[in-house]
Amino acid sequence: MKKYIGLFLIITLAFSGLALAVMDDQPFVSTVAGVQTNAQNQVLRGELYAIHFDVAASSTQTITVATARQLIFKKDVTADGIYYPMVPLCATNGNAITFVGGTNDTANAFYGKIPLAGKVTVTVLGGNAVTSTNANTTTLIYNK
Amino acid sequence: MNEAYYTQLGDRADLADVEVNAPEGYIASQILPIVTVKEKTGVIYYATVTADVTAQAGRAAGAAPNGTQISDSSTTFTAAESIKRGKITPDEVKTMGSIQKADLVGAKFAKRSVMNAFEGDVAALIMASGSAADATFDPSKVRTQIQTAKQSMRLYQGQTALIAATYNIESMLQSMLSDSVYGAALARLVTGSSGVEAVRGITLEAWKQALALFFGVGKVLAGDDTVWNATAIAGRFAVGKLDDSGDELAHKYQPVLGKVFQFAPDGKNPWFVESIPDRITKNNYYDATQWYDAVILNSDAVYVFDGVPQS
Repeated sequence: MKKYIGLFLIITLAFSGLALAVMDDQPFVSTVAGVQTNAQNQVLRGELYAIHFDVAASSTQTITVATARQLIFKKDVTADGIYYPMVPLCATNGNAITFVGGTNDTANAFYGKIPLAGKVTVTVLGGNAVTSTNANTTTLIYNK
Repeated sequence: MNEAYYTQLGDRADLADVEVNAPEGYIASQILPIVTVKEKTGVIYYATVTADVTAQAGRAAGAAPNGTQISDSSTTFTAAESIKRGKITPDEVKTMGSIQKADLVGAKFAKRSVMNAFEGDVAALIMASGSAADATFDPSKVRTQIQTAKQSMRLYQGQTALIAATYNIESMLQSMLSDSVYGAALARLVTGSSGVEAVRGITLEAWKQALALFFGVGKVLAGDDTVWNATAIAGRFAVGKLDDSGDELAHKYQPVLGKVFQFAPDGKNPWFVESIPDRITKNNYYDATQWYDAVILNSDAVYVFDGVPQS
C-alpha cells in the first residue's frame, strides 16, 4: 500500500511541476541613433526557446544576447525575424555527445535548449550612420 | 480684438504666488530637499562618511590616543535657468471668460511645465541615467539584493526608502508574485487569511506597505510614470537614504544624499513669472522661470537597480 501512496505522490508532484512551467515572453526595448550602443538587462530563469527581433526598417544593427556566463546569440539584423537557438550538449568529460546518422551518416552533435539562470543582457549596436533614432524590441521567449 | 483680451506687461508677483498642485507622483523634493539660496552660484561644504577606524586597545599609560581627523568636503553649485512660456491668443481669452482667467491658465501651465522639468532632472540624477546600475532586479533574490543595498548605505543619514515609478512597483510585484521563491509569502502578507483583508490588499497603498515591510525600508515612494520611468531610465528603481531631519543645512554636519539649491530672486519665492501682451503676433505670453541645481553630495547613499520588466 505504501508503495502505491509513494507512486501517487511522485506522479502528483511531477504533474504539479509541469503545471508550474509556463512559456513567457520578455521584451528588451531599446532606441539607438547612428552607431550608438544600448544595453538592457533582465534576470530570467528557464529554458530559452526563441529570440524575436522587431527592428526599425532599413537599418542595420548588431544585436547581441548574452548572459554573464555565455554568448547566446549575435547577429546583424536588418529586418524583423525569429530564431530558435540551441547549443551542442557534452558529456561529463566535456566532449561533445554525438550520434552517427543522418544523410551523411557521420558523427553529428546533439543540441539542447539554452539554460537561463541570471542576468541576460541584450545589446544593440547601431551599424549605420543614420542619425534618426531607431526603436528596437528584442523578445526572448522562454519556458520559466 | 478687444483691449480687454490682452494681458498686462511686466513681472507678475500675483501669478508667481499662484499655487500649482504637483501631480501625484512628483516625489523629487522628498528625495532631495530644497535649499533656498540668494546667489546663483556658490560653494557648498558638506559632510561625508568618515570610515570607521579600529579603536585602540592596550594604550600605554600617558600616551595620547590615536586620532582620526574629520572634516567636511566641498563642491560648487550653479543654479541654471528652467523656463517655459505659455501662449494664449486673445480669441482664446474670450473663450475662457476673461483675461484674469487666462492669466491663471497660462501661468499654471508654464509653472507646471517647469515643475515637470525639475522632477525629470532629479529622476535622471537619482536613477543614474546614462550610467550602469548597481544591480539588476532579480525577483528570486530580491531580499538579499535589497540587503546588499541597505548595507552599502548604512552609515548615511536618513530614512531608507524604495524609490520607483508606479509602473515599476506594479511590475516588481507582478514578477515577485509569480516567482516560486517569494510569491506565496508576499501574497499572504497583503491578502492575509480573511476575505476582508484580501479586499484591502487590492489597493496600491496596501501593496506599497507590503513592499516596505517585505524589504525592510521606511517607506515606498511611487513616482509619476512619465517622469520616473522615462525612456532613459526605464525599468530602474532605487533604494536611498532620504534626509528626514527637516534642517535645510543638514548637509553641513550629516552625510546626506543630496540637495537642490534653488535660487529665489526675492530671497523667498523661487518663481519668477512675467506676462507679455504681443500685438505683433497677436498673442499673450506667460513665462515662468526657476533657477536650480540638483546636487548629489554622497552618491553611495543611493543604490540603483535596473531590469524591472517593462511589459
